[in-house]
Amino acid sequence: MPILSYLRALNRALSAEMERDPAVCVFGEDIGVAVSNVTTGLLKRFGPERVIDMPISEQAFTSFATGAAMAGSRPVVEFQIPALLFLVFEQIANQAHKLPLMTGGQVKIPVTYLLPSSGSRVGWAGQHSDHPYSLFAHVGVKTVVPATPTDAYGLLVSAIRDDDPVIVFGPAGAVVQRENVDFDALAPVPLGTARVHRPGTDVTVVAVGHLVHDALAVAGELAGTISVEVFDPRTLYPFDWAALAASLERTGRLVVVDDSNRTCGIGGEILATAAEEMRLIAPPKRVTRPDGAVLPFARELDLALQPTRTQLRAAIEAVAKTP
Amino acid sequence: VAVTFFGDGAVNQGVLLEALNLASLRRLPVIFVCENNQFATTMRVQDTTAGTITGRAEAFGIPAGTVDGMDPEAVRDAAAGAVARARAGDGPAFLECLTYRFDAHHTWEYSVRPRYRTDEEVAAGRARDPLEIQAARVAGALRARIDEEIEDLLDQAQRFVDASPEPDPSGALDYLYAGGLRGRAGAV
Repeated sequence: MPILSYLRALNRALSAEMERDPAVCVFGEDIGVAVSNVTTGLLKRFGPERVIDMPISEQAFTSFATGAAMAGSRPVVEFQIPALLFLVFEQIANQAHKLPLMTGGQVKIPVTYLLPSSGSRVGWAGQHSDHPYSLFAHVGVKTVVPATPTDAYGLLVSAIRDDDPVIVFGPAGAVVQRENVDFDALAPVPLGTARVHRPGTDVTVVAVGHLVHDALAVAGELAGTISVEVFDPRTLYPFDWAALAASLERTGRLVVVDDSNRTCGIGGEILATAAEEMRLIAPPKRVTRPDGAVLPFARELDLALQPTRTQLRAAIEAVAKTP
Repeated sequence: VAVTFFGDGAVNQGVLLEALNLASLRRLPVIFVCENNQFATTMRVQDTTAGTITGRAEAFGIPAGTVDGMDPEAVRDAAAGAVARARAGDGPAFLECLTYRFDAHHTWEYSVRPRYRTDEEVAAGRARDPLEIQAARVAGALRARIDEEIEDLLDQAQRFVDASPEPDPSGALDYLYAGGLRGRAGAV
């Protein structure tokens, strides 16, 4: 079977949706030459009226997408740097998200915000290494974080077809992933559905984005001593709580590994919900970035502030040991 | 044609300049209307705004005009030119409408009562009420009929409001999501 890389999956999804629906268009910086390798070939194939290179005016072109959506387009807005989301938080959280409610349903805002390399790219330093997916889940913007090329394809397709704003985080740590897949079998993945990558009976590990691959590696190391279920929510809002409850019915023990800053990260929400509503037979744990993390330039310091396999393994062992 | 309204306070927000650039660059059919009512909440326009308001648009190659915002016919004529230009594919236009804010920026001022303008100044502003200016152009009998119709409409609206129940809390988040997605309640 042919090999599908993560960025190629995003490219295929964009291309397929633009082919399928003439309302789909792409806005962003340097997308004509495809600096981030996601929009490769789209300008030539679909022309400059649907693949629109924008000036360095993120706030204006994010609102431009809102207006285009109100007028019937289905824009995909690419951001090269995750911290640009802080700049356009007003345009997404306060405008695009609220307009359908505030107009009594008169408008729909089917915009997809695409981050083809979110989180740390090691050495991109303090203002280019954030992973703010929890912020958008908190606001109530539909938020997806695909871990694999197949899911990147399927979730981006669903995001584009959805009638609400959806933000798609492609973690830099997942972008290196490649899969052997039958291209004809690629299909939409519904928003709000989790995926169990590895079944287990002792501990459920909820892993977000690229950390799914770390969780699978640790689960492999522990096989024989602790049976770990690797649970990938795929969509953080709306979260597939029913699937998590079902997993905890099996294991009763929970560890979350989440590339958010600790305070108010999605990991905290998962632990709180499990504690309130689900079966837990031992106190749960989470492995996250530190509170208020600013990732430094130096490689060792950058890596030291991200969740590690060692920390995850220790957390699983501690939770499994608790009687 | 799209029309966007904003005040003199908004002209000092960076995103307006981004939007002017983008609209001009792509020759979009947008009419930017600045209602210059002289105050950004309590701040006078001359204390907050360097250069001119129309100069901001002109810097991006957008034709900009200033009009008496208290004269409905002057505003209509200026807007008609801008709309025609947008429809012809010639791109955006910018209109600064000079006006005066009769009342508080928001009801908060009623309790805080900040002192930033005199009663005499407000009275002078109110003397040029656009409703009165336009009414003077309408024949007496027609004006009386319009006044009666409007009073009646307002009475109906008041009766409708007084007779309406308070809204149902279960509908507070209706229309948040196009497909009707419901998030979790705040207490379960």
